[in-house]
Amino acid sequence: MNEHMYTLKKPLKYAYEGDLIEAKFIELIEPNSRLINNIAPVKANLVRGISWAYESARKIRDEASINSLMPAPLQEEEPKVKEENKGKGKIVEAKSLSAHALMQSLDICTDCDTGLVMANVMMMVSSGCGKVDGETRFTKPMVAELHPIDTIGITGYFLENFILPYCQ
Amino acid sequence: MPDKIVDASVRVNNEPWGITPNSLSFMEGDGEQEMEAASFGGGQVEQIYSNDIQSNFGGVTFTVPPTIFNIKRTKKAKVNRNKNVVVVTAEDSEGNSFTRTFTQAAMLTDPEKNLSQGGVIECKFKSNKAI
Repeated sequence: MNEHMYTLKKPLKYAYEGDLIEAKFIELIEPNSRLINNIAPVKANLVRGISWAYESARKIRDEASINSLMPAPLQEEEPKVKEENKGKGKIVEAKSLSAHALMQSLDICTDCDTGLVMANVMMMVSSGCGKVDGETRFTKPMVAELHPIDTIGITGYFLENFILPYCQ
Repeated sequence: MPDKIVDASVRVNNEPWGITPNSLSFMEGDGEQEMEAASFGGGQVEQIYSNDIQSNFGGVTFTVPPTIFNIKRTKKAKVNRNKNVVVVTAEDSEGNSFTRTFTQAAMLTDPEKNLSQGGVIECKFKSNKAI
């Protein structure tokens, strides 16, 4: 089972062993096919977002010929293509886009619904794909208490590690 | 005009519990106090105020329907001894809200599980003073 840790930026209190303590990190666990109804719309939005972002960046670069106008994460990450994939059209390698870049791609794409992506990701995290401090189940009331900066951060982290590898 | 709170939500150990309507009550844990008199004579009396710290425990009481899910989780809360945390939250129609957290909550009595039409499971937690 694939697991990653997201360090919380804002405090989140939760019940543990009879006390309220502050969570330090959320352990994110790879979803399985039980959550396919949540994975599908997230993947679809992500693919549209990435394609839209690269097309836009290419158009801006061609028209203006000024690289510095592009958002910094997109500027840094040119798609890296493996030898066997060269000549097969537009393929984005997994791990070539950061969580921040993925969230930006969703935000700037007019065909993407960032709210829907975040809602589905948080539904998955609170349905078994998340553990607070690696131990306590991440529940729906905890989702409601998360600071928006962490909701966005967890969504980006989830996309980078568990959804992007499927988008090939 | 503020209205009565009849629709509070209850969370036990981070999980929301669906409770029977109109069954929830809680105690803040401010305890019981006594006032005695010390006389200086001639009608002069001084107040001696004392706090019975043994009564400084909070508590939450509510009932839940006898579903299999509730039977299991009331058993789990009981077995968890005093390592439960109960949170009561409510908001009125004007947007005023309150939250009370009861740490180290324990189910001291064995809850009776009434398996009948209209039956309920009574959940009585005693805890630290509410925060």
